[in-house]
Amino acid sequence: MIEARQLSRSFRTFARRPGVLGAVRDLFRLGGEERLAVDGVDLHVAAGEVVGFIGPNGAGKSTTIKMMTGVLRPTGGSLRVNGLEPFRDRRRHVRNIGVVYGQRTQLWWDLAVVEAFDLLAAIFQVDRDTYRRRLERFDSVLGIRPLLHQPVRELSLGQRMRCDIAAALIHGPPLLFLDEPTIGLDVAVKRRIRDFIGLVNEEEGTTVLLTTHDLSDVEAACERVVLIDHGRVLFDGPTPALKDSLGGRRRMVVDLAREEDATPALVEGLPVVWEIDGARLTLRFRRDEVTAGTLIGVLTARAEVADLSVEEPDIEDVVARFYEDADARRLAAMEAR
Amino acid sequence: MSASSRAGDLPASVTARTGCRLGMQLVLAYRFEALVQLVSASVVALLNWSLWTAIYQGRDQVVGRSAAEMTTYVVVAWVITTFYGTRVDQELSGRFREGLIAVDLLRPWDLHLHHYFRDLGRAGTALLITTLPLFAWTGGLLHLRAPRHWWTWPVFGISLLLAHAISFGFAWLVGVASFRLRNAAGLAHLKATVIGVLSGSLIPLDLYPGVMRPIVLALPFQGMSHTPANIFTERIPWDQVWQPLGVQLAWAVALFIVGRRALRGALRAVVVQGG
Repeated sequence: MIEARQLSRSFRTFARRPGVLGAVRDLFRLGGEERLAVDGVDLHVAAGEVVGFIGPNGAGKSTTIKMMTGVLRPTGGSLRVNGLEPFRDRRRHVRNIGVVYGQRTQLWWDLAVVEAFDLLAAIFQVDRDTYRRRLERFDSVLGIRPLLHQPVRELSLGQRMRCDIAAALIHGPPLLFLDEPTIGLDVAVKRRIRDFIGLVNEEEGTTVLLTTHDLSDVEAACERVVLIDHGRVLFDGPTPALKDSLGGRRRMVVDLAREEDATPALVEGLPVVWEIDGARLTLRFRRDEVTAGTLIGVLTARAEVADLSVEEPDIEDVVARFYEDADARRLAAMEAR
Repeated sequence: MSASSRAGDLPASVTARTGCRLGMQLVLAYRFEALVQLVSASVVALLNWSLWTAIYQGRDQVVGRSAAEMTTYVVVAWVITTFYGTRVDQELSGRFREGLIAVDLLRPWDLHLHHYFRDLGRAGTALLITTLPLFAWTGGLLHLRAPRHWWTWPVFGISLLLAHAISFGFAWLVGVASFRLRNAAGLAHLKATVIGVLSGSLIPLDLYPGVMRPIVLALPFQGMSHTPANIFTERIPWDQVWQPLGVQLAWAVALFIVGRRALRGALRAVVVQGG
């Protein structure tokens, strides 16, 4: 469905000169500093996948999405979506995709929701029956019927987003791009949107590419996640594997029957980070280095265990730590220049 | 944007229909503004009419025009600005500035053609709720001179349509330039001034002195008010009327072609800001 090979996009940036005259001169200025926003991204998405696309602010997510939706021209590499080159074949390409930009509406501010829907159906030449059927389906999950006759400018953010998502799917595209669709939304609306993503994926086989800063979106809706930073893909794999890949550690809390058993000898030879507090032993370990089963086996052989629990690493924590590191790396790179 | 006949592209008829419909809906969403336009255009038309009525006190002819012809000219020339006057420049540069151009490009339409028809829908609606009411009351109360020949009406209609196309074409270029120069306010002001002075919406352009006259008449702006108002006042004999219409058409087409190229350039250079 999506085939990106070494996809790149650079921007020329330069400090702007002041005033009208400066602006005119800037227009003719050559050079400027070349900055790679997307730097050789390889990405293959098969039909029917739901892929989460994450990365810190400024990582190149939006630039990549804009190239895939045909708004931006790539400056390097190749990109095919549904067999078309998005920027060159824009007008054919957009028939096959639905897009929601969380921060900008595709509805017309001054029109009623239903007027916008009607207009989109006309623009995409959706026949009357199909259009009516789709509207009913969207209403059953997104609950948009009560909003249809309100002007878009009077909708709350959550209401508007539900309408925007419906608008993106009026022409029944096989591929849906969601660029931060849950930004600023409350928990109930978020859940509704996630449910809806699952539904269109399951029932229509719609392929979904979702960018978000909310990792619970990714955990709830995406079986696969792609992490990019500095315009490069740093991780591409099943969502549960992301935490391990970023060095997330599981936590095992063991309460021993006797406090005198709580000694470093108990964990000797095990690939764990440990901490002892009275009769309580806290272990942190990586899933790919040792299994919880092995640890339990060793510990119960060495001492009498009263109670035990295992916690998965929190994805928010793991990714937040990664982003902070990424920020530090970026600052270091800027200083080095 | 090229090869509009390619399979899957939106047929021009659909672009036309949806564009006109959207333009119409957007005007109707702002009915109050139409009323404001009606009032303000009435005031200016009345002002010009009073001015020229005063100038003609005790005179038959001024610069080759009778009092009836001149007052009809200035009122008609101003009234039709409510039809062809477009804000597509501000709309377009705003879409670029706010990154909403990314949304506009998600439709299978030809963006330039879409905007043309959208503004035509806007103009058509304005004709019904602003321009025609203006014609009705000024024609009745200010004793304007109605055309003597029936054919003047359809020719005037065609000329109006071309006036709109020129106005659109110029505003479109201003919109693209505003985005690329990042100076929408300055250019909007410039556009208003240029059109005010050079379109003939305030005075017939042949009133300009010596050197200026041929220059002003050679520019595309004369096709906005000067030509239609002269056709309405039957200043041009009917066997020669194809000439000014041809000039209007040539300018409309030229601006249209340049506008497409300008948009293509802007889209290649576009950096959609934020999010």
